[in-house]
Amino acid sequence: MTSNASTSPVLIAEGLVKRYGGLVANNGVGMRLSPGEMRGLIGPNGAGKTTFVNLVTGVEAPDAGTVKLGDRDITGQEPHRITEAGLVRSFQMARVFANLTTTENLMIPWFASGTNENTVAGMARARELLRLSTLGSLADAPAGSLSGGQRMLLQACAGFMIPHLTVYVLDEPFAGINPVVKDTLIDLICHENKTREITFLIVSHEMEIIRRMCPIVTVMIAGQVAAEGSLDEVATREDVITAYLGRTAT
Amino acid sequence: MMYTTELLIQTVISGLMVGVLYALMALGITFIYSIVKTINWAMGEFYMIGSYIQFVAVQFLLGPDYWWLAVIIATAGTFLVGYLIEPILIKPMYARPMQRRDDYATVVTIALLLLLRSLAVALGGPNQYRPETNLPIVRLGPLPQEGARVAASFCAVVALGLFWLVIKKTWIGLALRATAQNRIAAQTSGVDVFRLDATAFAIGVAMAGLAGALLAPLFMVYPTNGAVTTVKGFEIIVIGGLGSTPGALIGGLLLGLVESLGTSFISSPYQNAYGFLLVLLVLLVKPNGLFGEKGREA
Amino acid sequence: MNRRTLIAAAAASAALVSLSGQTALAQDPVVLGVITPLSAPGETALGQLVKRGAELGAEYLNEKGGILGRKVVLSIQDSAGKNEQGVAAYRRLVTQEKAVAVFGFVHSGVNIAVNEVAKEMGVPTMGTQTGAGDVTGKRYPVAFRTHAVDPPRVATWMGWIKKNNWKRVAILGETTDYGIGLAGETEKQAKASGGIEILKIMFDRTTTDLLPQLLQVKAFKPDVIVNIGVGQPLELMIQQANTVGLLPDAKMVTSYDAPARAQFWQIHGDKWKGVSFVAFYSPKSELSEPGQWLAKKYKEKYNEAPVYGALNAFGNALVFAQAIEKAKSTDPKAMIEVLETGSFTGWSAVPVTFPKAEGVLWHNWAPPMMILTYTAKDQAVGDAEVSYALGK
Repeated sequence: MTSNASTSPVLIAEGLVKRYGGLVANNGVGMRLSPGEMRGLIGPNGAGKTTFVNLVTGVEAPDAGTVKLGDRDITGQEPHRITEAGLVRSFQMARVFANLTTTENLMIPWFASGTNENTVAGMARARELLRLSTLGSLADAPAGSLSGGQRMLLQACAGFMIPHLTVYVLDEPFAGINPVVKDTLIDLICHENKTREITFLIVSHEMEIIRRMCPIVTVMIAGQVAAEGSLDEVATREDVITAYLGRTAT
Repeated sequence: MMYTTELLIQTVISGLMVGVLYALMALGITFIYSIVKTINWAMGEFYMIGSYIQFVAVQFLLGPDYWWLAVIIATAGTFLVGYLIEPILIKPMYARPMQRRDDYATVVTIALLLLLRSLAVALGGPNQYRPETNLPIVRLGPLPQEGARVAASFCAVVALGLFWLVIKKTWIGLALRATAQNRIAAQTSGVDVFRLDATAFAIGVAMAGLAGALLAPLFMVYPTNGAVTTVKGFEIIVIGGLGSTPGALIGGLLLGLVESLGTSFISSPYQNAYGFLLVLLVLLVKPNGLFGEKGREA
Repeated sequence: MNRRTLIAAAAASAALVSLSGQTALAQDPVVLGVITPLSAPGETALGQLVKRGAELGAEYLNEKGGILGRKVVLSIQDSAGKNEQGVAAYRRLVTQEKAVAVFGFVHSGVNIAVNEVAKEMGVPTMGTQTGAGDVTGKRYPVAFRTHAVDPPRVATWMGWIKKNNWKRVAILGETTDYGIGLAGETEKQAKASGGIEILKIMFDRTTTDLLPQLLQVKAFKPDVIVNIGVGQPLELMIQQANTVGLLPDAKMVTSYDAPARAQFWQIHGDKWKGVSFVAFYSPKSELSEPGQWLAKKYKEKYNEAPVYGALNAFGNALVFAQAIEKAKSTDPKAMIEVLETGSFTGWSAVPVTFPKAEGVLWHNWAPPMMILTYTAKDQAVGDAEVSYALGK
């Protein structure tokens, strides 16, 4: 990667708008991610975080605004095209293929990416990821037999299987999983970030983890970006506190 | 008539032979449903297309010695027709947000059914045709069977085996299994589900086309020849459970057996009634079919 | 074929335009209604033949100057073999299309259901190829028919069987109104004549395998098998009777003239021996003058000899036209009176009459029936041997 490329943003979202009937879920949301950055996205429930993630990753098309991955405009494209471009996401509820084995789960994005590397390389990569995520002994077990936390791990690994992955959007990856699995997942994310310079956008309510992982966080409130900065900076802002504590507090 | 063990064995054999062909139709229906989440009511018309291609190929191009090559051409031809039709008719259901997907699919596939039948009448007239066959009569014990019937059953078994291999051992099979379970997850994994829809639809209708090609020398070629086998296909879906591959296979064999045994040992006029009795029985005991899922995925 | 479809569509749209209020025409055309199965689950093969015959009938009439100097126009409706669809078609024909007569029926059920409405609405109907007794047996003034009812048809093959002195008769019939009626009548007439052993087996018409039934038949060692299937089961029975070795040693007669269609040779190839069939028409039959016109035109247009269904539909159009000419009116009552008393020219040299006869023979004209047998492969129907002719 040239130094020039490393300074220009890898993901640019600008002026994203999404309405559901009368409700404006996203009202002009923008964000810029630098290569190799780990960005946190926080905000109270109903702030429009998941909508934003859906718009960026093509699950829903925005009513207005643009999304660019590097130089490529990916606004409103089909999810598999966006994945092809190198932007991948995970879901709050782990979407794994329960009837397939964990290895098969990992091989799907590998094959779907249309990579020129052969199956043997893919299998090796899958084995490594399963080892890193402590799922090595479950390589041939159906994904349906995994615990909730293990499924989250597996889902995260599936994204890492894509050879040209550049930006990974993780939607609530730590929700409802036990502390040991949490640490494994954090280690895995940090490992991939270091070794492959993958950029992360992590949506989470777990402030401790966000503080540990993300130097900069973006705060969304009522469908708009309310603040950007380190977690400790934004946590002192009055509008952020009000939003988190709820209107009744004022 | 004598109720001998020999007769029993022969009835079972002939029931299983018809059963595998039923299973082929049912598998096509269920497979399309599992991926595209659409019931293709025009399945019998793809059976019809397969039978017409078989007829034309045997009669005008290859001759009866190369019937097997004609079967391959007919199957591939039906596959191609399905692959080209799906993006036009079924894809709009997913490409645009739609309120009543099932209604849309029902209307569209029934319209397709009428169109294809009318096309067959326009091109070939209402007449019946039959591709020539020179396969000799085969004796299974003292029971004579048309060579074409034995060949049809054998080819159906081979096709089912091939299908199993593709689904279990290839990348496309893996992608199909994944998409059947969770469309959006497959899509975000980078799977081009629209192309996969077309592929799945094409594979499903190709099974009907294969059945049509194999049965053409026995049940002949005419515009509405797919109707009966389609009804059987749907009966099997109810027996085996919608979306279930083992359900389609076992349901098909069961239906073939029950019809054959009932006709031979109970009374001949009620052949269809035995099948429907089986359907009722399954519905009473297992309302979702023998292998059906409890509820449908959202 | 495509070009013909295009021309037909153009003609149809032209007809529509001329119907829709171009009052510049001296007089409105006379509309003849046709209700016949053109889509499944109807017997579409037969429906198409009826359509061909009716269209040629209109062509013939217009060539001869129309009816009462007015142009003849057909309105063809699809019954799909379904009673309610047929009834709806009849209502539409009478109220919207102003049809003065309706024919083309192939399914007895449709014909019977339509007659229930017709007896109120008044426009006469003619069963083109409907066999059930109730079509005319209810003795409605509006109901006419030009097709063989069960008793004379069965008498035809029973006469042939007796002529050959056969004693063991297997009846294989499908479980439809048609099959049950004919199988029962055959059993009845065979018993009445005495000295004949009968095996009667019924089967479902959607069956995929007649082997179990045919094995029973084989054990019975029949002299002759009466094949009462329609369409696919009829052909399947011929094939599988060959498979089990019943044919060609035992003989088989089919209950209608399916083997007269050009497709018979295509379907059965070398396996044709031993099959005879009831026919209502053979090119050896004497044709009327219009019948000869039709045979020539049909051959030109469809490159095959005309088949009974087409002949009868053609004849129906002509008979109605003559009735209108004789009555000098399209008034239903006047037409019916003329039909009941007059004698008409259809496709056959045998004149067409509709006497107010007993039972199912009410308002009924039956074509001359015979049993035909091919004597060589790929033979034309005209060269088939007339093995038996009813009443001769």
